[in-house]
Amino acid sequence: MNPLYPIYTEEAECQDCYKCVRACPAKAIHIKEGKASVMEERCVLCGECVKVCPVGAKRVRNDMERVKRLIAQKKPVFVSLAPSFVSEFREAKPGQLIHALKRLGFAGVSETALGAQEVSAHVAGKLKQTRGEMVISSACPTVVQYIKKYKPELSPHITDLYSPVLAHCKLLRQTFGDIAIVFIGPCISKKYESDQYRELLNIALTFTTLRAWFEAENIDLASEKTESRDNFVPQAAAEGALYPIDGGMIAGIKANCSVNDAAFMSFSGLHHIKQVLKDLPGMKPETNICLELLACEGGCVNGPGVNRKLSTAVKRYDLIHYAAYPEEEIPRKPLLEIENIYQVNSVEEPAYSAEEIRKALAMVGKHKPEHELNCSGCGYDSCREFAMAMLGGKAEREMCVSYMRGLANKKANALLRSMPSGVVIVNDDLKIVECNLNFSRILGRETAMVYDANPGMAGALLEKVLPFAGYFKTVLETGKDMVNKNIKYNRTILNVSIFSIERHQIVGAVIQDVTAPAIQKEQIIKHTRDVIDRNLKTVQKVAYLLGENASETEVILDSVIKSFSVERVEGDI
Amino acid sequence: MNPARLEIEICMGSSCFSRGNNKSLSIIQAFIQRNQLDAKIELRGCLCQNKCNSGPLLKINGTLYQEVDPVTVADILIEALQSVDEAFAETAGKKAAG
Repeated sequence: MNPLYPIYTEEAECQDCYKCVRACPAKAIHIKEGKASVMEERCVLCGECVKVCPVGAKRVRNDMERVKRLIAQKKPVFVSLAPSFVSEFREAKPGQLIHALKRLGFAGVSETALGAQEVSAHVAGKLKQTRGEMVISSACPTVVQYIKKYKPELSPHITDLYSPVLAHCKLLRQTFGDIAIVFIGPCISKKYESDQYRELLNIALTFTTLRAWFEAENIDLASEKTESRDNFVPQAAAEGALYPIDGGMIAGIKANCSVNDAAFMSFSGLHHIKQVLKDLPGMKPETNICLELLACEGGCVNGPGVNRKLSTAVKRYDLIHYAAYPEEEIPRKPLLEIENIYQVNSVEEPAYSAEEIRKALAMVGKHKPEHELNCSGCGYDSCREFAMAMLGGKAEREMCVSYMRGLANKKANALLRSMPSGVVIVNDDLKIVECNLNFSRILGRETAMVYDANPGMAGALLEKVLPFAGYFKTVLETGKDMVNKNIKYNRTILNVSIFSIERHQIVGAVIQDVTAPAIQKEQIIKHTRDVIDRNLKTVQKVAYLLGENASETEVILDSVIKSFSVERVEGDI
Repeated sequence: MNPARLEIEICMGSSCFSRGNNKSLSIIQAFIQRNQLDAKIELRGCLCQNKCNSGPLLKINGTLYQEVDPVTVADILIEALQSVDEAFAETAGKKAAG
């Protein structure tokens, strides 16, 4: 089996948003150190995470190089082309697309819809023979995986048939013998099918990849030529082409049996399907129920591997317009044996005790039920689900927005509280946003009493509590900080620094009473140091002058001595 | 030595390594582990082969694979396993016939 999973994360791109956690219907996203990765054993390959990732960090495995290698080998390679090609490659006629695919090296192109017709015929046959059965279609591999993993009690109701693409592969291999097959379509779940059923389906590509390939080879579909032999092999499909729109499969089944053989229903979108499946296990229907479930909303035409972001209505029209309804061939007789049971292990959701969940909630500061905001900021629907995800090791507490905001606030509060200086934060209306106790004390007893009544003094007008609010206004207007200004206030002197926190909007100030005893002590020490420093400098200067004086005297005296000794020498001659 | 074995040499020179063999290495290791092929596959790293132009390089039982894209590595391994198994079955068949 291929160790490369069809969805992977480009780690360097993934950054601190939990959009994929929120979008994932299987909660298969694992967050570690802020980076999201897909948990293969939980994932059902719906591709929601790929669709919603805002930075494109969730990516689909690109199998183009594998297909190129396959073509370079000896077996002829056939394309199983998903019917939604009609809404994806609107610019071209089928013949042009077939011609272009052959230019890429494919031996022939066949419609996956042929396999779909086979599946319809089998399901219709089953419905004709049973009563009171609930039949869930196995056509969408993502739905099959979802049910097998998370609703195992419903898995006996899934038809034991190959999906349309695998049925198609079997048909092609029966028709053409020793060949290789590449599926091309809107689905990334088919990549998993090809990994699992390699002997039937070699590789699966998305339409997105095919477009990139055409571009790389400078193939412009709209201007592509066609030849008379550019037809679908072994023949064109008919009503099976409706499979990629919701209701399309049921239309195909109904064509082969009576409308009364079952209550036919179709649902699309995995989030919706989750709700649909909720009450099915207890249901005891009198007539057959036939459920067509497609994981992508609106059907496969909106799959994660499509490029065209057209309205579902337009896509649906394209498909209905294209699909033929061959009266003479219907009802169809099954041509192939396509029985198959998908092997998928169900996911055991670990159970946690109330005590464990309580502890996990306490880790993110949620000690009481009213602390559980259920805001979904972390990507989980409720705080309890998030707590269970933390216990399961796939979530971390930094994901909780309210916890992180609370933590940031607490840090700031602790700093404000323990600062020896007075601190005040003021907004552009010169109203106090927050201040600490020391600020109110410095301003006198009256302000301290106001603070007692309203800790933080939020909303108080600055002018009312201190006479030098004008400086704050200047800093707000100019955006220039004011540092270490000494201001006389009552009988004290305040050392004030005002600085911008958010330019022109919020300013903060640190205020010290320089006449306060603690400050006085510091000031005395500072002054004493100054005196010592100054003394030392004077001594050094005196010493320097003394030294200079001494050397100058020595030079002069030396020259005097010299002048006398020269005369004596001359006298000797 | 069991002839139906694979000896893989993966170039760990800085050019091959940074252009894909870093990923290919972990893919091969995961492939061996997932399919329980420890006894059948021997994996070795090698130093630069001075063929950086055609890298990343992979050698399986003496056959050189060039410009190896990590996404194709599993296919290469499966094909190589099939071909050694077929060759082994053939020689075994000949021996039995002889």
